[in-house]
Amino acid sequence: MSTLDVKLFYVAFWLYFAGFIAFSLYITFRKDQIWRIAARLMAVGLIPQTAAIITRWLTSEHVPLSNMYEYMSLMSWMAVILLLVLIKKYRRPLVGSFISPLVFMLMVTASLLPKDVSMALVPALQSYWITIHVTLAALGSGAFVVACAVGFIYLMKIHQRQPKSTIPGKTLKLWAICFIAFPVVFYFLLRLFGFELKSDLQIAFGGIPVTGWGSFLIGLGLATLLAGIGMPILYNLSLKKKDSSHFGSNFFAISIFALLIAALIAGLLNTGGIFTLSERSPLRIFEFFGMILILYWPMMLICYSLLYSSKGNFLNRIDFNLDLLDEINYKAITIGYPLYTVGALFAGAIWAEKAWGSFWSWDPKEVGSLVIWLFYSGFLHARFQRQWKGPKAAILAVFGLLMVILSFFGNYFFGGAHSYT
Amino acid sequence: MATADNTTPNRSILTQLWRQFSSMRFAVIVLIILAIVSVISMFLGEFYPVRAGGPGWQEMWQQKLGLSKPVFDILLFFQLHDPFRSWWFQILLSLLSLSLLACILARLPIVIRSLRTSEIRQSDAIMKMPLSRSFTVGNAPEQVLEKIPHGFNYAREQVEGETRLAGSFAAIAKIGPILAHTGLLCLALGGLFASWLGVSTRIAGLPGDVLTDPAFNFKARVDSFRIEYYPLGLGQYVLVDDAFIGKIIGKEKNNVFTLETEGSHGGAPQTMQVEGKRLRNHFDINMDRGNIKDYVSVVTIMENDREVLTTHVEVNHPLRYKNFRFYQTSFDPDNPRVTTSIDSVRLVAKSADGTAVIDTMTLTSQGSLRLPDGSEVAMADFLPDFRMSGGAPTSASAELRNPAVLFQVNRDDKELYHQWSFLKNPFMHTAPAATYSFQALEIFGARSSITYPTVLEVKKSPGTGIIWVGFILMTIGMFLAFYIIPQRVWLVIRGSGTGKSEVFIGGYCQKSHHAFTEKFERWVERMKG
Repeated sequence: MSTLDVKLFYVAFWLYFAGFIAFSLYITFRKDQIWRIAARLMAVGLIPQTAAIITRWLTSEHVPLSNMYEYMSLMSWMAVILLLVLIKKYRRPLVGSFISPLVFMLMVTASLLPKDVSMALVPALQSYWITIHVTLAALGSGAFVVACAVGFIYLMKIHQRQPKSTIPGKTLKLWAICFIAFPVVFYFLLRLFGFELKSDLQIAFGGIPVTGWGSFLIGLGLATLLAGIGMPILYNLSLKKKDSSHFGSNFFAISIFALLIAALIAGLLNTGGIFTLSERSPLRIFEFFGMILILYWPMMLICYSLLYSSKGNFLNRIDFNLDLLDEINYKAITIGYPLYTVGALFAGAIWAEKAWGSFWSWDPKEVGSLVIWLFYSGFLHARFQRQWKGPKAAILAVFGLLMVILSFFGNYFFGGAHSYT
Repeated sequence: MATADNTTPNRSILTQLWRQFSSMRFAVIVLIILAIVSVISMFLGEFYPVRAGGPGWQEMWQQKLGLSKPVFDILLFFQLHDPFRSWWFQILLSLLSLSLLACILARLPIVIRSLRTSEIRQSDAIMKMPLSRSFTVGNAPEQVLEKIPHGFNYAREQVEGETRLAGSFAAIAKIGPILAHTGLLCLALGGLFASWLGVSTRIAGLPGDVLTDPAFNFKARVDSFRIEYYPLGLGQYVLVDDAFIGKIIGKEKNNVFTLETEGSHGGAPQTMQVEGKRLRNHFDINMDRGNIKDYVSVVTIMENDREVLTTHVEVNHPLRYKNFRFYQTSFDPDNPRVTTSIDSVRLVAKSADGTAVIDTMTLTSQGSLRLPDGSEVAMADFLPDFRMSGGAPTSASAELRNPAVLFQVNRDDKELYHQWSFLKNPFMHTAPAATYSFQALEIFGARSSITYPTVLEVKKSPGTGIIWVGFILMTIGMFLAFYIIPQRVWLVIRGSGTGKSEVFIGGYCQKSHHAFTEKFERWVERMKG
């Protein structure tokens, strides 16, 4: 039984979907009318989504930011607002073509998360600091979504601009072999040397739980980590500096983007009960990351094939000023960073001090948000002082959102003070 | 000279070291190391067999992790059981503080200088700037001056028939980074003070208990403790007719609720509508957690057995006394105090072997009944949820899950024997010296209540003030640094004597370069027009 706010959420969901489709059509047809319709659809979608948030607020009698669905919904809300502001300010409708799929992805994620309205907040959550803490953290993360999308366009564009930097056929074949051979060899090596990672992971096929897959999946996951992350690093190091710059950044972008999608899917599969993690820690961490890495593998292949198959017509149609993209990326992060710092860290710390007596207790989610903050701080310093612009900044923006997503689902495999969210 | 010779190398090493500390490279390296060790430490936490610090934790760790003594000693030396409070983590935080301090001191003079100087430039200097234009307009210099970019704070100079202007917008935002870094330094220092000088302890007690701790030299008496529950509402788990559990998914009119219940034998969930009076929302300690609204303790602080202060302590509303704060964190569900009573019990008295029924009678809680051999039976105790704990009978909850009555047989006020009788289980364990056995059949007027010990976190953190200053400075600093963008513009307007003017304009904006360039072009167009 869905309540009014969930119905409104779905109205926004479909409007954003329509907006996303229209923005995608704009890449092909390049008619001003199309992007105007797309932007209007997104803007109109904001109305039911805002209404959904308000309705939920009135029903639950507290700010609707007490679970992951509500958080993700607000994050997408912020991303849509930024999308509209950026289109208006920079007059580049293509920005919408890249942010709207991410917005829609966030909406899909939110739609799959449990949406129960909880009237009862545990005592520690009854503080106005929760409003500040979660609202600003979600808004900050929304801005990071925009930076990630823009960073991704940048890397695609730079790849397309540098035809010489595409992977030569032989290298691509070597990649394919590594991707397939490494995990299998690694897994059997583990077994050969007697490393058997026992796991209680349950995977449900058609609702029927199947156990005993954990060991295989974890082994395969670790192997994928080695093949998918380790090999590109080695490969990139082995290249001459001038050759590696664009290919490397492009490859990393796709790797990280694929990892990001894999993390989202793994989180959703867990929420949807498709797989159930072990009760035992730290095994559940291995299982969760194992799942991400397993999913990363096909995602990587899909991303690459999409890019290469549509290289001729798709990328050519993105006529973007790279400097502008770089500036939007930086702008989005400078909007998100203070919001995230004040929201996720300061307001959270002040609230913790009011509730439990210490600003900081090194709870896993606190450490997660601190690491995200350190990362973006490093990004800003590197950019400001070392002039880290262009591909480097774009990769960092994509990687930053991956960390945000991992931290978002962190409470599935870590306990701690955020386990109720 | 000798002195100079001796000190120069030292000074240069110190200068170099200081320069290293103030470099961005050093700060970024410390940040990266902090991030990496934080992530590793977070994962390490998941491997801990039990929480460090409890009784016998070291032996348990050694055993469960299979570590030899020397390896375990290394683990202890590096405080890997509590990495975030370890000496090496504090060294890292200290290095970060030092780096921040060096960075602030190195950049502060530069920022102050840039705020003071107007830096008026000549035309050739302007034209060397990356963003600059020169053009001639058909207006006199005075008319051109009316069209110069608005919103800037201009310094002006009139030299050799030309007007030189240097304008700045939101120059104050330049202090943003300094404020933000000073704020972060305060946070790091506050954190270090708190970990060096802070006190944190946990006390728990039932109403009436007087609590103390070596950390403080006064006592705290728990006067009362209560758990407040939410009224029936969406999302709560409730007990229906004391028989089965459902979840409230809708609230209808007339105090009627829509519930979702587990289907029987793992089938599909079922929905049903039930009147509110048939529902209970606090019935099981695990299910209760979502229904609890607040914990409230009334605490009296006592100094030398004299009452000093009595006040409420609630979640998010701590009690402050001297430099200590008492936080209501939770309650202790494992050590409840259950108080129960019943009005009377109907029982059947049998022969000692339980074969022959002697009589069926009703016994009140205060009274006694005479048995055929002249002895008297009385009710000595009643437990609603009987269980053995540490060899002694106790009640696991206040619910009538396993009600048991203790019968005691006396003669001339002297106990002969006693026997527990379980209402839901007819098994009777008769005492060896018993002449009768008793089976409780029904109880009347059962009342029970359960009290949990309150759990209070007592803290003393001397760095709190500095941390607050840090939050404020850093917030202001960040908003200045990121949301307000300083812009600068330089102009030279030279009259050419024929009613025309030659204009040189240059602009600089460190951030938002693209947006600033567009704005700059608009200024040029306006001045040309």
